[in-house]
Amino acid sequence: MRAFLRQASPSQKLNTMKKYKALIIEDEQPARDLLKVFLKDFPAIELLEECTDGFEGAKAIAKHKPDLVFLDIQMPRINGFEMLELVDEENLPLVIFTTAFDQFALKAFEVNALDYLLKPVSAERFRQAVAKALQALEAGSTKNESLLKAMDSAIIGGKFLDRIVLRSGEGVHVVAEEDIYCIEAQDDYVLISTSGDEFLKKRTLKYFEERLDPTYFQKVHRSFLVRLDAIQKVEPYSKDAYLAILKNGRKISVSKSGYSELRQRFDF
Amino acid sequence: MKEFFLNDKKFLAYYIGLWLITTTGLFLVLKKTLSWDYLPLLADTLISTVLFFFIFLSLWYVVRFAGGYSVQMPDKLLSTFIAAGVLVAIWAYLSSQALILSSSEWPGYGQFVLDTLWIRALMGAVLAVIVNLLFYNFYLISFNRQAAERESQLKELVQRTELQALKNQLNPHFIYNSLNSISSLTITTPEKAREMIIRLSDFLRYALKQDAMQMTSLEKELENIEYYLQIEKVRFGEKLRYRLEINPLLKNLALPVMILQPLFENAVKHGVQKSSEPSEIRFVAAIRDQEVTLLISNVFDSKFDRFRSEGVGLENIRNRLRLIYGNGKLLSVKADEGVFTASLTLPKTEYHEEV
Repeated sequence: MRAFLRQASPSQKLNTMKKYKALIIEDEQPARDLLKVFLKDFPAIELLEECTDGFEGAKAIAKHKPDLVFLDIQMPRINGFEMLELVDEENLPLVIFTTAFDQFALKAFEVNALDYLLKPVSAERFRQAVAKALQALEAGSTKNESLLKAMDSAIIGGKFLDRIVLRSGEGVHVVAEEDIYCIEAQDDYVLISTSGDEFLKKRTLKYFEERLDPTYFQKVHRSFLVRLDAIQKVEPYSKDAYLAILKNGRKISVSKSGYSELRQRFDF
Repeated sequence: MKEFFLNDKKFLAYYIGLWLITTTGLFLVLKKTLSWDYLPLLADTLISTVLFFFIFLSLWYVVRFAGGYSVQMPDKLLSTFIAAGVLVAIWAYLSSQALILSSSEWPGYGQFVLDTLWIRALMGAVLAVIVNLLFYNFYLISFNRQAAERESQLKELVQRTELQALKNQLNPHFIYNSLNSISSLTITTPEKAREMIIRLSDFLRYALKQDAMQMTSLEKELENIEYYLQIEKVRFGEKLRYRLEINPLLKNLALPVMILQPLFENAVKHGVQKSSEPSEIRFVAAIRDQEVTLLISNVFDSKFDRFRSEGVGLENIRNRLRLIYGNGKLLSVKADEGVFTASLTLPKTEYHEEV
């Protein structure tokens, strides 16, 4: 290990005591134990906490702001990807996923250089992944672009979103795809309206346009993505502009091209 | 049986060939034996055979529909021969009338037609028998072809179901996770690792030797479920709880092998794995007259796990039930107030071990 550090970063000689903070987020005890045993070979990594589900994990990341996280994908309540959605972007750690064979996970990683460990986890693969992570940390990489890319393609490569996990205040909301009425672009955020609630999320409208099933969702305006079932009626507003009235009473703008697409979809 | 024989080029060729041979042959014979000029003879031949050609096309429908889908030779042939007789009479009448009308230029030919009517009818009858047999032959061939198609479709369904059943029994996710647990136990508690390897082997032995149609006893099936749950318990620890209530009267109930396993696996996946709290899986069997209902239920967190649509696992069980009992509806599921219940109704039959 020491040999590796010297090789990876000559500057490390000056500061061999630098420790990186890590978390294990994994719901199965034996799997956690195994990672812990493997981690003992890496004195440069300090394990701060073990979390048994995504909620604990998100909280622990906010609290410790770790450098590295070992993250299981299949977990109780919310999965590993959804947990990352709850983490503030500036707190995003480097992530090494752990997963049993799973089509959607594998698809995500095939196209990305981001590291992941297949269960059963081999000690050798573990060493490689951690070495790569340390190298990135040594290089001072806090940006996690490959992670963000992986999260994106995880969803693209898999299937359409069937729910969105949102943080509002202290609480976490899980909004099922069928409960979303419309999504409105607002600068860096989107406003997600359901039958009764509204949530802000730091994402682009394009992000949701790509990830929600187009069978049910239609972009009707440059700022609005709407669930077709939620539309009660569409009426003219001015020349070349229309208004759609949703079942929750919300009125949203519909552009001329959005209107003609709606006409095609509803056949009127 | 949607095919019309005219759509089959081969049979159409036979039919036209038969017509051509008859027409030429008839004309040559008539020319040789009779003293009439070739023109009236040609007209006679053509009118007779062309009419015959079209009138007897309708015989196909008699062959096709007589006696429903029966392929019994005597039934079908009897009704087609009656129809053929009627058609011969119609043909003899129409062709003779047409000939009489068109033979005004050749005096005496009309009378000749009437005089030879019985010979014409006899020849028509002989031809009718040949045509009838041709149609019948075609009917049999296409009937058999379709029967073979149906059979191969059924075979394919059985094979697909069996293959899926096999895949389903061996959820790779479950195996890889178990192996990961074992890998961990070899370091922390090696004796537990050995124990788990034995359980996993027992489970795999049971799961791998089966085909989709094989039966077993409830006792055996639950024994294997217990192996499965013990393996999962190593992964999930205290979170996984289960209670299997078995009526001693039902120990020998016959049921398809590995039919309960996917239901328990579902319960683990949605009840235990997705929960952060301890979660119990219950198994209850109830006898009602000649039926037994097996209920597998688990609590799930409706906030995080919605019951959306039924997965492949349930579909696969239904396919097997359809193959074995002819009824896929023996399995029903419901999600109600946070409790998911799968209920499997089976006829109350005893399982006897095959020797």
